[in-house]
Amino acid sequence: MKSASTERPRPVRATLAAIVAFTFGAIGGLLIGLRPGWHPQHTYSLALLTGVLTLASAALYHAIMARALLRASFPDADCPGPPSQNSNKSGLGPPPAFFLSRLQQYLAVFNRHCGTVIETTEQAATDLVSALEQIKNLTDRLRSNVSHSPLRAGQFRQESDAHIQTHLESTKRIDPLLGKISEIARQTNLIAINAAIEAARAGKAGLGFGVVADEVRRLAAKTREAAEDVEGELRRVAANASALQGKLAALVSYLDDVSEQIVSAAAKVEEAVLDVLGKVQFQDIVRQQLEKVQKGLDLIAEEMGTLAGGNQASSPAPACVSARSNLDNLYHEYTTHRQRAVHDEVFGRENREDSRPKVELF
Amino acid sequence: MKTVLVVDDSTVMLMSLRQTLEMAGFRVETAGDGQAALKRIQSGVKPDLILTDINMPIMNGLEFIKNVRLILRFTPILALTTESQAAKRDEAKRLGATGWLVKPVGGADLIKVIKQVLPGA
Repeated sequence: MKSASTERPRPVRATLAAIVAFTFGAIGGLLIGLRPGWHPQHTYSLALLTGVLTLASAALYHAIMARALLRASFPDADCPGPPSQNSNKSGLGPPPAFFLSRLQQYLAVFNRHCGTVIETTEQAATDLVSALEQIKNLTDRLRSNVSHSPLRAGQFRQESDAHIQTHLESTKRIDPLLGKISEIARQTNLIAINAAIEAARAGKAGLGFGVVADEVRRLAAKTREAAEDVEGELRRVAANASALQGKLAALVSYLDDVSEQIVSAAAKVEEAVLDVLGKVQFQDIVRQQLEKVQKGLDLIAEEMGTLAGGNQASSPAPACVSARSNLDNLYHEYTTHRQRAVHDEVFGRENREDSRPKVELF
Repeated sequence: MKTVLVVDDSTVMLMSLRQTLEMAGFRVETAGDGQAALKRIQSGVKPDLILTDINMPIMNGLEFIKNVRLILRFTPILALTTESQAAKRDEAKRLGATGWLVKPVGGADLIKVIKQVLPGA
């Protein structure tokens, strides 16, 4: 690759090309004119004419090709054509001002896009943090409610146990009463039997008394049966109360388990919320990286402005120096290791890996 | 309840750190740059720990650490930053920072480090 300082100036190259074109045309004219019978003056005139025509054709071809190339690059632009000064390798000259201006517009658009990405991610991250806060608040409330439930369940268990115990004791107190009733019925039955015997001994006079004695015996039997029925019912009630006590104990134990599970789940949710809150920091990293991209785009636009101003026409050195200096400045302003690594990779430089830990206490 | 002063120019970071620290039982004060944080301290806020970003407008983290050390000599100061330049890390250490954490740092890890430098928290 030739450097700018060793390249021939554009006017010299154009002159050389014109001379070559003219020479070829003239030689062609001479060859045609060197025919027997042609006057030498006609031959020289023909050589001059073909030389001029060849030169004109070459110039026209150059102009048409240059215009076509510019139109192909910018179909919607009203290209004024390449300037004739300041040659470059393509022969089209340096980019015209309108071209640079258009590129600056593109850069401005990309810059705005970067800004929009920053705003969008910031809004999304803010919404995410707010949503996490709501989740955390709900978890707190749930845990707070559940944390009281074992206490409430314990109280409920104690109270219900006390009620059932009182109930069972009441039934137990009825048992001796039933025994007394049964004993009274048995004794009444014995008395009725004795009365019936005495009535039979009395003969005719005891007939009425015998009937009463039989009725008393039946009543005694019914009293005994009723006492037995009541005793049976009381036993069933006591059994049911015991079963209820067992079921309530199981229910309270189940509630305790559920409470424990809810508290454990709430702790896991809290852990996840903490983790996501840490991950939200990506937005700050992305923001800082995009801000540097924006700054880079601004620098390119600034350098294009310098080029469009034509400062490079006399000497290209200041623009090159400015670009290098801007790149160096940008490199020193990077904040993340990744930014420097990408920059070094593009410029084929070795990146010095920062081996220090991410978390360091001094 | 221990108080942590969080200094960062990112709204997202301030929100995220506030919630993380409050979940761990800390009281949180915030400021958007070093100068604002310094004013809060001068106006009477006495943090038990300072968590500061490094690259901030108006007054950057290094400048803030330098200034805050003139007022609070023993308060632990942790830098939480995307900055990975060893020179800046060394400068922070020289100015009196207690530790250096490169973003992103998970919430649980952050709490662990804070409890390490703030016994009894």
